[in-house]
Amino acid sequence: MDMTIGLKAIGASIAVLSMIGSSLAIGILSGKFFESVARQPEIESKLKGSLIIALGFAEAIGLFAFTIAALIIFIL
Amino acid sequence: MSSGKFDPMHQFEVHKLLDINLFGLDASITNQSMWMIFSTLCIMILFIVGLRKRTLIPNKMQSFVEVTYDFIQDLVISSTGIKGKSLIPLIFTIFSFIAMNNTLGLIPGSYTSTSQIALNFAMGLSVISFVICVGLYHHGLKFFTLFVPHGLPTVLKPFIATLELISFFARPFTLAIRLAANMAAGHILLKVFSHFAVMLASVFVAYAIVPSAVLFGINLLELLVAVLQAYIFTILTCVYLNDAINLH
Repeated sequence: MDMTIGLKAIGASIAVLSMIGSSLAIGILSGKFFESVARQPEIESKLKGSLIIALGFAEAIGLFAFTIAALIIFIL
Repeated sequence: MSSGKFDPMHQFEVHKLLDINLFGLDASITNQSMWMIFSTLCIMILFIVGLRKRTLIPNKMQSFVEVTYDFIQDLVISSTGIKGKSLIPLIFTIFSFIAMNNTLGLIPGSYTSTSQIALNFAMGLSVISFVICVGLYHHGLKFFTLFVPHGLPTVLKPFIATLELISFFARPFTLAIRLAANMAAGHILLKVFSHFAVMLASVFVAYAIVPSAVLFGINLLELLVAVLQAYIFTILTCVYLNDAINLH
């Protein structure tokens, strides 16, 4: 019996499990942003740009995991 | 009915449109190169038409060009200091090329060139080789003191230097994969929700409202991600150039 597709699916899901870290990072960053804006509302416009950039970085690391999963399913 | 197997990766296939063979090298025009040429033409048209009539009080097109140039100039000067002024054309090219390629990929039926790792790796590799060349030009062989931060006990220096070297040479890969994965993941997401909408519509047309509404939201998100990823690539290039020009 050909088990490759099942094993591929298991491999890909283990790879995607590491996106927990990326979502935690985004949550922590946004939380700190809200906290600091609540302390000092004037800083909001300066901090918003940096927040979006930091979210982009955190998102990118999560997408590295997605790349590996896609590689496992479609190429290997 | 949904026809055949659902294959979200088929949209990223590169196929030849025009076979050209230059001295044994394959220089054919593929759908990827056609869209790259098209995006370059779009950028050129946008900026040439914008600057056609130069008035002191700008109209809409000229104001768009001026805002973009000011944005890039602020970015470069704030990252690299006044020594970086000669780098503005390079950073401008990188930003507008990536942003235009990403945005044109959102047109239904088009092809996103930046979702191919080949293109992104070429850009990442050329950026890092440029950084090394700029560093060697400004500082000569003292450029390699970049990898040894001072203020460290001598015992740790070899290990930290190795780690810094590895992280330096991982930079083209991370630059490339960040952009490619963001674009590919966005388009796969769009494909999945379109598939849901088509499947539900084949049962009963009104059921397709929910996936279509989500699709609308995802398209807006992808537009934001398109410009944002171009900005992140550009700002990382500026940071790496700053590392090379002003050591530490």
